[in-house]
Amino acid sequence: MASTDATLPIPTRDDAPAAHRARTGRGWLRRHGRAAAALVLLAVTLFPFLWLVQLAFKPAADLFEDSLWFIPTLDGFRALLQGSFPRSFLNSLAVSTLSTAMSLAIGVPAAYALTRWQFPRRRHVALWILVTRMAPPIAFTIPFFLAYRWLGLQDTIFGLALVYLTFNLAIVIWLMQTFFEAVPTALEEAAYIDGCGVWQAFWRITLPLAAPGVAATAVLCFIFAWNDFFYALILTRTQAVTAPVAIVNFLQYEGWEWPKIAAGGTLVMFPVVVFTVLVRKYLVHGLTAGGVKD
Amino acid sequence: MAALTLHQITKHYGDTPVIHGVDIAIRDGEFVALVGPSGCGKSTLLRMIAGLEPVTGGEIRLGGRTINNTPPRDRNIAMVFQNYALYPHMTVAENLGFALQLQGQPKDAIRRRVGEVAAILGLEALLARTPRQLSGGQRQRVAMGRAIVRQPEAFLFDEPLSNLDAQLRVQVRTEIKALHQRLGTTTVYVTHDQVEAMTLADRIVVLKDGRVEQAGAPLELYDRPANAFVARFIGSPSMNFIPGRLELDGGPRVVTDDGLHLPLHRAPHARQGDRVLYGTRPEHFTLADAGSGEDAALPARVVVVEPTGSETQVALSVGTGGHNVLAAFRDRIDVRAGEPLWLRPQAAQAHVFDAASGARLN
Amino acid sequence: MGAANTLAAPATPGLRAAHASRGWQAARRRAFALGLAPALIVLLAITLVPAAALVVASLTPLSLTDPAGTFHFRDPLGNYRHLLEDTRFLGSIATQLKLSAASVALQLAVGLGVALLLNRPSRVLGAVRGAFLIPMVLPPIVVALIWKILFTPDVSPLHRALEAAGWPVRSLIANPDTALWAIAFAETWQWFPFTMLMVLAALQMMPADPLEAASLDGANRWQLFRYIVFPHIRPVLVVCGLFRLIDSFKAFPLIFVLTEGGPGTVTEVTNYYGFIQAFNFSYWGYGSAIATVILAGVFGLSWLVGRLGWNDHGKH
Repeated sequence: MASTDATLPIPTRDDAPAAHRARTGRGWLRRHGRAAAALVLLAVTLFPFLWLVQLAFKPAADLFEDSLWFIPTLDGFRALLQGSFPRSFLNSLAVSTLSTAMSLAIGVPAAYALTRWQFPRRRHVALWILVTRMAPPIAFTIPFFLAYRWLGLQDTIFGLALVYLTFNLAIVIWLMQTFFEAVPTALEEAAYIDGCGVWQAFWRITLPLAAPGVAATAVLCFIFAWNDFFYALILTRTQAVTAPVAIVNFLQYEGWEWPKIAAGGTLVMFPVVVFTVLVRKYLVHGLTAGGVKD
Repeated sequence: MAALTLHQITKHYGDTPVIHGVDIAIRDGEFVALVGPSGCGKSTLLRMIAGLEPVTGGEIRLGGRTINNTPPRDRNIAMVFQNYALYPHMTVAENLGFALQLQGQPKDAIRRRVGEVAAILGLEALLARTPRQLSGGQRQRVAMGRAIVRQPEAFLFDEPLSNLDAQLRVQVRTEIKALHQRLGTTTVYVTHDQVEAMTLADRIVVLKDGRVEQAGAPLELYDRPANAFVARFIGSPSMNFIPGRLELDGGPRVVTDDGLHLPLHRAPHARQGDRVLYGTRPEHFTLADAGSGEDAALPARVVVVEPTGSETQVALSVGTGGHNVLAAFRDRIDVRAGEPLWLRPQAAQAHVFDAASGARLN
Repeated sequence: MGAANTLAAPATPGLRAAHASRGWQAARRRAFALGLAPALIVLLAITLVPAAALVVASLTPLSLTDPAGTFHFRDPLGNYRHLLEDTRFLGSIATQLKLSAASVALQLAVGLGVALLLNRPSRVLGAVRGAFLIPMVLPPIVVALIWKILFTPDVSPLHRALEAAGWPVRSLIANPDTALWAIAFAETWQWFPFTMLMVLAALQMMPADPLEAASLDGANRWQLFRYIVFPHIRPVLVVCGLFRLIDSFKAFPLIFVLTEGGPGTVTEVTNYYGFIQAFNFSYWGYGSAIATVILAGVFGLSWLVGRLGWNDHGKH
């Protein structure tokens, strides 16, 4: 299951030459009908998304008109710069980066151990990891909320990154196992004979060869951390508030400044869309428990 | 360089025994080949020597030290893998120098040593390349270079030639032999190809189902196989077996159920009437005239003629009992399929094995 | 080996006694345990411990008004008893099930349809397949924002278009009859690419022979689909559906932004109800009980998914 480019055409009877000749008039539609339908469908599907983006550039005066002919302005974005949005954007960056780093640091060695070490309870551990991924945030939020009140971790970047481990650690362990499995054990054995210990061989041989996998996993961790709303809503107030929560604050307190809100939404989604393009091959694997292999 | 001893080695995977008490003593500087069919345990033994598999029972000694529990890196052993196992993300020079780098050798010492080894194997021009840019034969040489660089006490080869094409195989085989003559390091070489074993080894150990069938010099195994399995395994094309009854009255011979008399020089260690296997190598048949009586040659019909250039191999059906025999003649024979021939097996070269146990009787 | 003495002599380990545990193997096991331990400890600390704390809290009437005083176990099952009588809670479960059923069904249908449409090798279709991923990868809050705009009559082009066409429609999310459907619609928009991807992957792996044979036998496209394609992708659809079902229990941003559970409690799903109880009213004990119920439901479904063999790492 590599890319999503299908290589398997479903044969249709329309490919029979005689039938084709009989319908030359509608030949174009037959040949390109599928692509045309797909494009139309795509336009319809992406319309809501595109509407948001264009709204971000609309002057306030034109708000209540639907004309697409307007002179784009950056007023919406400029309005964002005042107030707490820039800070929340930076907070999002900080939390996502920290969460990614922590998840990788703890998860990558664990994934390697799970891959190479045939210990009896492997299946159980794997299942436990899958379940952590599935659990609803509210189940963790209440205990964390109470604990953080007591520990003083509320409204902190570290506190939020720590909570994100609940899903990101599982992602790292899950994904990296596949990448480590792709490295032949013979290479590690050669390294043992050449003079490496277990983790030395890992560091010098296995990890460099799995580096693309680490990169893809890191990006996915970043995206999942960036996109979180619920944990950030509950566990932050003013200091560590992240971008998604900040936008909602606009909605609630400045519900009429649509260009500003749309600009906020556009900015928040921008890193994610860019990164997604980079890792789309691994996206499904990251979102599910199996499937896409390199 | 050191002597390598395997003493009463047993191996279990869970409850399943796979190696049953193997004893092999390898002298310092000797080239020993472990041969046998798939599943005989030869690779497992090699990996146990390397330290990649744990030993269930018995002792492995290298240069006088017991190394059962020593980590691979401390055993002072080098291994050449079947699939080369070259580090894909390193250049040839880095591959070669990796072990030295791990030992903490200074950079110029490493560079010098890598250069020496590259010169021995003809790899100087390839030092900056990555494994992906090398041909199969070149990769194999780099794998060998990686083993040589460390000056270990023993080399281990795990079927290194099986991924090469026929011509390359012969070439690299010769290089391996030349290397051994030059360096003189104790070598254990695992292969399923008995030709490789015959040409390369000082001694061959034939294994089957986790047991040693026979160990000895190649020609020793060829001329005096200890049992039918070794006799069939060593030598290509393999030895022919004709079953029959041992007759001792009036001169030792083996008589088949359809009345063929197969001559013997001396009586084997068996009783009159015992069921035995009469073994003859393909090159130990001579063409003869029909003859008569007990001196009669064996009547045969040609099935297939296979001229290989250096000899003519003829598959024959002997007698009326459907005995299929392959004979190899040095001279060019002009025969066609379906024609009759008379064969005489050389009595002095005949082998007699017990029909039930396969053990050698003469 | 003359000139080779540029090296230091390799270490001679000396005699190693054969210890009870095979030295190298034991060392290897220890090394792996060391690598796995931090992750296990952390996971334990941040999943099992909070889960346990959650259950413990659900056995108390803990609330903000008097944290110390309300932390007792005099009536451990009190919250759960109350849940059974709480019509709002029971209603939220019904709402959740309605929403999940509608949303997942639509996601499967739309995803399947789009996948079938796009299942041809073609440059255009390849690019289009990538573009269809966008709704799925947007931050959920942005998705909520998009649909907030589209469902707010003042600024929504959809509303204005309908008005211009002579079918003025009032706000869909303010109307109790349509609010849940509006959310289901938005959720379908967001997640149908997931099904699309899975089905496309399964279609790709489908062997061509049965299709060609049936086509030669005279099957038309519908028959091809019904008797050959569909049975092949049914398992994928099932697992997909289960995955989306489990995920749908976590639905929050859409409801939070679009309707806040309203109008009334028409779109209040269990997740949201728990949120309100725990963080609006600060009834932490009661909220924990609600969360425990959701967790149990998710456990059950996850176990089902695991049983279906989707956990392919376990096979190694």
